[in-house]
Amino acid sequence: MSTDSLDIIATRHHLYTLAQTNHLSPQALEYALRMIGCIPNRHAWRRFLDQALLWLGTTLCVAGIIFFFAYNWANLNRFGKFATLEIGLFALILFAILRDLENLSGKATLLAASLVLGVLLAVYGQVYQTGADVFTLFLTWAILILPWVFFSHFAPLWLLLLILANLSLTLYWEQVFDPTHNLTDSLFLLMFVLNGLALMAWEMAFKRGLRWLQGQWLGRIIFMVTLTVLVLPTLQAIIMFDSDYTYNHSSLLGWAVALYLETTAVALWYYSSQRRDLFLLTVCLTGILITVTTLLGKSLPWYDVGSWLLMGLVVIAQASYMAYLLMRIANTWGSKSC
Amino acid sequence: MLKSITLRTVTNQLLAQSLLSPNTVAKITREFPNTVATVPSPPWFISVLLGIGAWLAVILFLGFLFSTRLIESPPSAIIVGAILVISTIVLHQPNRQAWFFNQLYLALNLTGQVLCIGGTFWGSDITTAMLLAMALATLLIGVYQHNLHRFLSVLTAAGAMLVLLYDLEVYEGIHALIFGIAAGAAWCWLEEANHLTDRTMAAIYRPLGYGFVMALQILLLWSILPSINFLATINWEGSTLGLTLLLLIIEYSILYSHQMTMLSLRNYLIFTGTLLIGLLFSNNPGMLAALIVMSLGFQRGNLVLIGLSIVFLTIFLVAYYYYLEITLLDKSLALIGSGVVLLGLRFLLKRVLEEPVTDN
Repeated sequence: MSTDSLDIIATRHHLYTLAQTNHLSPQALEYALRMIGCIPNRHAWRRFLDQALLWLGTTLCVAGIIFFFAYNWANLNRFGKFATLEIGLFALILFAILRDLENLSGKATLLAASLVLGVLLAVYGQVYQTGADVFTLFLTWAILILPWVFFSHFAPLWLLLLILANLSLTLYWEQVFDPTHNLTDSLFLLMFVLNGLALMAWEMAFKRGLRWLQGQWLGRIIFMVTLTVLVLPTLQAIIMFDSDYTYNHSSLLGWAVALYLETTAVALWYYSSQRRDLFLLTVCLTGILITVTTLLGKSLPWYDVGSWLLMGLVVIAQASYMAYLLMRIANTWGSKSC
Repeated sequence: MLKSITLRTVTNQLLAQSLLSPNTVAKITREFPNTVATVPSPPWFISVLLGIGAWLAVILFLGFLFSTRLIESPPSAIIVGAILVISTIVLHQPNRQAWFFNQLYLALNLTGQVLCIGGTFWGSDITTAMLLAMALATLLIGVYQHNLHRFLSVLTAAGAMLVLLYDLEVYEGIHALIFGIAAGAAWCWLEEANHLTDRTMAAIYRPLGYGFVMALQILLLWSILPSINFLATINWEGSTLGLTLLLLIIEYSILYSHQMTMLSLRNYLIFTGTLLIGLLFSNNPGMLAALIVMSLGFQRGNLVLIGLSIVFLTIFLVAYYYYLEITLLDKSLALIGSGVVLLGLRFLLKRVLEEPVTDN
C-alpha cells in the first residue's frame, strides 16, 4: 500500500485547494486542470465547435423546413404535401444510413427524421379528416419510431419516445376516457406507472454500462417527471383535504400519497447506497420540503401571528438539515469528478 | 474527458515543466492532507434548495412582521429592515458549519433588505429605492460572506439598475448594462485561475460569476418579449454589437491561452464566423449572450454554465423566430439560411483544421 499522500486521483477540488493555499500559480493550475481533463485542450475545443455547429445548424434547418410547409400549406395540394414530406424523410433516413448510426451526425439526422415523421402524420390527419382523436397521432408516431429508437442507441430519441408516450396517454385520458376531468388522479397514477417503468428500464441499462447511456441527464429527467406526477396529487390531497372532491376521490388520492411516500423512500435508499446520485437525492428532499411545508401550512391557523413565524422557522430547519445531510453524504463519497 | 491521474503524476509533470519548484512539491507533500480537509462548497442544486428555502422563509417572515403590526409606516419598515440587516451581518459566521443558523440569518437578512427597499419605495420614490438597493447589494457582497447571498446581491443590483434606467427613461442605457454584466461574467470565469490565488477574489468570484451569468440571461429575456404597451420598444442591435465584440475578445483570449498562432486561416474563419452570427442574430442579443456563456462554460469545464447556456439558447432561439414579425416564408428562409451558414462553417472548419474530428 502506497504511503505517498499524493498517490490519490487528482480532482478539480484538490487543484483548486492547492491554488487557494498558494501552492500552485495560475499557470500551474491551468496546466494541471488541462492534464486531468477538467478544462479542454485544443482537440476538445475542435470537437465541441464541430458538435455545436452541427446541432445548431441542423436544428435551424429542420425548423426552417417546418416553417416552409406552414407557409405553403394552403397552396399545396395534398399530393404535393405528402411528396415533399416523404422525399424529405427519405433523404434524412438515407443520410443517416450513409453517415452510419455510430456517428453523432447519423444519430442527429435520425432524430430529425423522427420529427419530420410526426409532421407527416399530422398532415395526413389534417388532409384526411378521419375524425380520429389527437392522441392517435402521437401514439402512431411513437409506434412508428420504435425501431429507430431501438437501433439508434441515442438517448434523445428515447426521450422523444417517452414524451410521445406521455402525450398519448394524457390526450387519450382527457379526450376519450375522462372528458369531464373527474378522474385526473387516475391519470397521474398511470403516468407514474409509465414513467416509473421507463425509469427502471433506464436504471437497468445504466447499470449494465451501456456506453451511449452513460450521461445521467436522461435518467434524471425521467425521475423528476415520475416524482412530479406523485407530488401533484399529494399536494392536492393535502390542500383539499376537507373538501368534497377529496371525499369522493379518497381511494385514488390515498394511493397517490402512499406511492409518493414509498417512491421517495426507495429513491432515497437507492440513490444513496446503490447508485450514488446527489442530484436526485436533492430532488427527493426538495419534494419532501414542499410537501411538509404544505401540510404544515394547511394544519396551522393563518389568523394566528405565531403560525407565520413557526412556518418560517420550520422551512429553514428543513432546508438547512437537508443541505447538511446532502453535504455529509457528498463528503462521505468523496469528490470524484470535476 | 476526465483522466485518472494521481496528484503525484501532476506534481511531477509540473516540476518537469518548471511550473513548480522542488521546495513547493515537498511542501505540498507535507501539507496536502491538512490542506484538502477544507469543506468544498455545495453543488449548485443544493444551493438552489437552500435558495428556495430562504425565499419561502422570507415570505413567511414578512407575513409574521406585518401581522404583528410592527410595520405600519415607511420609517418603521426601514428601521426594522436595517436592524435585521445589521444584526445578521454581525451574527453570521461564515466558517462555521452551523447550517440552521446560517440559513436563518440569510432569510432574515433578505427580509431586512426587502423591508428597507420596500419601505423606501413606500415613503419616497422608486429612484431612491433602487439606488438604495444597488448600494445595499454592492456593500453586502463584500461584507456578508455567503455565496448564495452574494449571488442574489448581483441579481438585485442588476435588477435595480434596470428599473432605474427605465424610471429615468434612459432606455438605451440597457445596452451598456448588458455589456457591463457580460464583461463581468467573462472576467470572473476567464480569470478563474488568477482569482483562486487571490485571497479576496477566491471567496467571491464564483457567486459573482454565476450572478452575472443569470442576470445577463434574465435581462435579455426582455429582448424576446412581444410588444407590450407598458414596456418601451428598444432597438437591440446595440446589445448585439457589444456582445459580439465581447465574444470576439473571449475567443481571442481562449486562442491565446492555448498558444495558438493568431494570424492563421483557422482564426480568421472563427472570427468571421462570429461576426456572421452577430449579423444573423442582430436583433437577438440573447443568442450571443448564450453563446458567450457556453464558451465560458466549456473553457472552464463548468457543466452548470454549459447547461444554463443550452437552456437559454433554446428559449431565445424559439422565442425569436416565433415572435418575428415577418411572413412564414421569410421565417423559413431565415432559419434555413442560418442553418446552412452554420453547417457551412462547420464544413469549412473541418477542412481548415489539421486533424479530422470524430462525431462520437
